[in-house]
Amino acid sequence: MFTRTITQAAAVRSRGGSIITRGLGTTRGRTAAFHVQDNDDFQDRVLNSDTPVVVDFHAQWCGPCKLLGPRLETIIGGKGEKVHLAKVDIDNVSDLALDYGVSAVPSVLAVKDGKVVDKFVGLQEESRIEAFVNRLIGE
Amino acid sequence: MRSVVVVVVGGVRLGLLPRCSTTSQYSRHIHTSRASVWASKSYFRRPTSVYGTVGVCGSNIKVVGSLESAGGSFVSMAPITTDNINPGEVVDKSIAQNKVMIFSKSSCPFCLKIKDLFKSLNVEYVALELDQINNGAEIQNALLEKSGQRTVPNVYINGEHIGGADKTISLHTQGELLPLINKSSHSYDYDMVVIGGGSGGLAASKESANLGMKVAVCDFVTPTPKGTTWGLGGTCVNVGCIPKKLMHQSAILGGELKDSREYGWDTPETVTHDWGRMVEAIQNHIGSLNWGYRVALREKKVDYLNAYATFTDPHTIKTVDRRGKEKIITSDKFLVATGGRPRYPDIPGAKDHTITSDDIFSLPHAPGKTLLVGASYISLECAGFLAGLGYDTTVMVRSILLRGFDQQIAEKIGTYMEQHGVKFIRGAVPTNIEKIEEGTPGKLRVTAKTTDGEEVVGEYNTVVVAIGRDPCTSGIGLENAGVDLAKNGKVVVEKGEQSSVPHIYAIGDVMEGGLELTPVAIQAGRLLARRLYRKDSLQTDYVNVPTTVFTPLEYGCCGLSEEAAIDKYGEDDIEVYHSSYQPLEFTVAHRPENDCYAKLVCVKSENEKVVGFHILGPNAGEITQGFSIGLKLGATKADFDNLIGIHPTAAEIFTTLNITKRSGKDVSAQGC
Ligand SMILES: Cc1cc2nc3c(=O)[nH]c(=O)nc-3n(C[C@H](O)[C@H](O)[C@H](O)COP(=O)(O)OP(=O)(O)OC[C@H]3O[C@@H](n4cnc5c(N)ncnc54)[C@H](O)[C@@H]3O)c2cc1C
Repeated sequence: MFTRTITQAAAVRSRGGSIITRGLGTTRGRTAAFHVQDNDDFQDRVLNSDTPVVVDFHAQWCGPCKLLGPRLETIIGGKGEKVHLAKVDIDNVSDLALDYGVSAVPSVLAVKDGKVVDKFVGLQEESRIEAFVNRLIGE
Repeated sequence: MRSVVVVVVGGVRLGLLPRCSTTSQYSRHIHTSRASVWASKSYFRRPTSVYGTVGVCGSNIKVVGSLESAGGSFVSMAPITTDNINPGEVVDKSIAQNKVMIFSKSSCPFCLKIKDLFKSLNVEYVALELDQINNGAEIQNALLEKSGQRTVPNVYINGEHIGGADKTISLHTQGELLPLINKSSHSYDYDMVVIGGGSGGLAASKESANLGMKVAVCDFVTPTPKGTTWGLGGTCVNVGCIPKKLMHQSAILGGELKDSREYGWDTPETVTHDWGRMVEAIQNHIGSLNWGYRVALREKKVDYLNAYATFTDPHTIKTVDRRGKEKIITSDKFLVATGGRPRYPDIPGAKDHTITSDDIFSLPHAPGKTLLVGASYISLECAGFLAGLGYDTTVMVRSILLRGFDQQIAEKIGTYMEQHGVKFIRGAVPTNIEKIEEGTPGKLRVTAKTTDGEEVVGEYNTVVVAIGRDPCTSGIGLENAGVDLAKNGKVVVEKGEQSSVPHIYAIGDVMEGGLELTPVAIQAGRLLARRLYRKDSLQTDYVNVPTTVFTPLEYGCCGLSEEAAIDKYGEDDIEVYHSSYQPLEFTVAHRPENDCYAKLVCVKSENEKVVGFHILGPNAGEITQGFSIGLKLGATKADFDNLIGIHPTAAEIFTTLNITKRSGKDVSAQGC
């Protein structure tokens, strides 16, 4: 196989189908994190969600995303059912990312009642992520 | 002469034949000869033979009065009277017949400002100076009635009331003025569809969209026989310039690590290189570039279709995406910027077992012992970095190295590479390639034949073929559109990158007679868009384009090779100044003294004008870029001599070249 990316060969630029990220299910908040498959899925599980959602726009080619991802998972996993984590691979669901103005990754949005209420771009310290999530869930 | 202009122009303009007097003043702003053809077609609707170029027309009627200046690029409409015409009719006709209509007063500073704005945008307008006609006041009343605005300037675009100076300027600052002006008058889906989202196509599409056009880009990467594919951006970003230069850099760093010991660093004697880590880092960078292009297209409102396009007729393409979904799209104009792909030799095993430059930059495993087939710059560059990274590297060459480049330097490159671990098999071509071991990498047996008919057999882990590239012009329905192709498959173009079908253009690697370089494609795309949609006249200049071959010692050049200069001017008229040199950095590192080389090719009968600039040495690309402007401006050898060097640099060698090749004197660098 000569696919272009070494480590995530299967995930890069592939059909927008399901991607399995190892490690995601091992944190406490097993059900809290999911991968957005397409626009409808985003509408359904993010915009229409009763629970606030943190949306992590990331890419396989983005080093900082790989560091931020686990931090988000840990912090959000620790909040139980109070907040969900939606992961969007911008190369798979590109139009969605472009619609939300994602010009650099990682880009993280806080969504509540279908509205973006907060956001940050780039890798952040754990304490700042914690504060970001707490603001979203009102703690 | 004047009366001809007056009658016809005035008459056609407002249907007011033939009442002419000197009381009215229309001014028209036109730019280039190209634009004037356009202007005469769309506006004057009269035989061009009467007027020749519109610019000439302008100079004829200058006498009338307040014709705007600026070197004949403005034309004042002929004097006509609006005296006996219903003012409302004058207003309506002026608005209906002119894309950009300005009701103005010649003394009003805001009017001047608006006219200057349109001039700066190269937009043609017609201005009616109300203070220079008898019934100006009535017309102003009619305007008030029609537009609710009494003041001037009163601007109409495509029949639509815009407003005064403030409104027009604010539209411009919001980027909405040009789109209003360039509104299409056709019923196609797009004004411009670009086929190929590479260097040229992206540049052209973004510029066209900037100028207010509705644009789509189709970009689709057909996977290589090995299954490699990539994202948006074309060859240069994904499988060309970018990964190539980064791998070259990786190899250069290896050399500098060795040097570092001489400079006091305790660098270990053996350091290792991780191919996979390098590839991942480079591919990550490319991923971010791909995304950057997506974002840029979205920002510019260019529609991106990740689909393969084929012409079905001159104004229609069919696109097919990777799921096989088809779409039919029509467009007023098309740009073919489909680039090229590597050619495979027609021998058993080639497509099954070899890779090309399309695969090597994302190869997931180290290539191992590698054979490169071909003497193109791509082959030599790949061989250079592979050897620099420590792989056993061989280049198989049929005849000369770097065809088309200066042959003295090409041979120097070969010699240097040979001294630095690259093996060359000269005068041979492969005839058969078979797999003898599976694996990553596996093992291949390559059989070749020399020009003497001898058989050469070798075993390699990886074989990279780099014997040339074919333009992507077959199977895309160009025949359905009636586009003429040259023998080599490239699109034949007239000046201005226009194909045999006037509304279909071609730029970049598919254009016959062009140069296969990214900045050339970008420039061609950008300037083409400006000519089409901003009435610019600037053509892409394909002469004295600098370039660099990123072999271990870089080779930068601009202008003619020594051979080409001799061909063109004759041996007697050419003086070559040259010198070997040793960059200061090489001294402490104990690198050889005479590897680097500089030469200027000058034409004696033209005051020793420099027509060829050549440098072989580190950072040649950086050096050549700056000097090339000298060649474009016609610098002579004396200009180079007058230039003061920057010390200590390698580039300063060009300010002190004093040995001619003809003298036969030794040009070896003088070491200690
Ligand atoms: C190994 C290598 C190294 C290079 N190094 C340099 C360098 O250092 N400096 C330099 O200036 N140049 C370099 N080049 C050359 C440079 O890459 C090209 O000149 C440049 O990319 C040409 O641009 P383009 O717009 O003509 O086409 P491309 O960039 O090739 O883009 C064409 C695009 O069109 C797509 N396409 C083709 N057919 C269709 C279709 N029917 N429908 C939809 N999409 C289609 C292709 O997939 C591709 O994405 C290098 C090339 C190679 C191969």
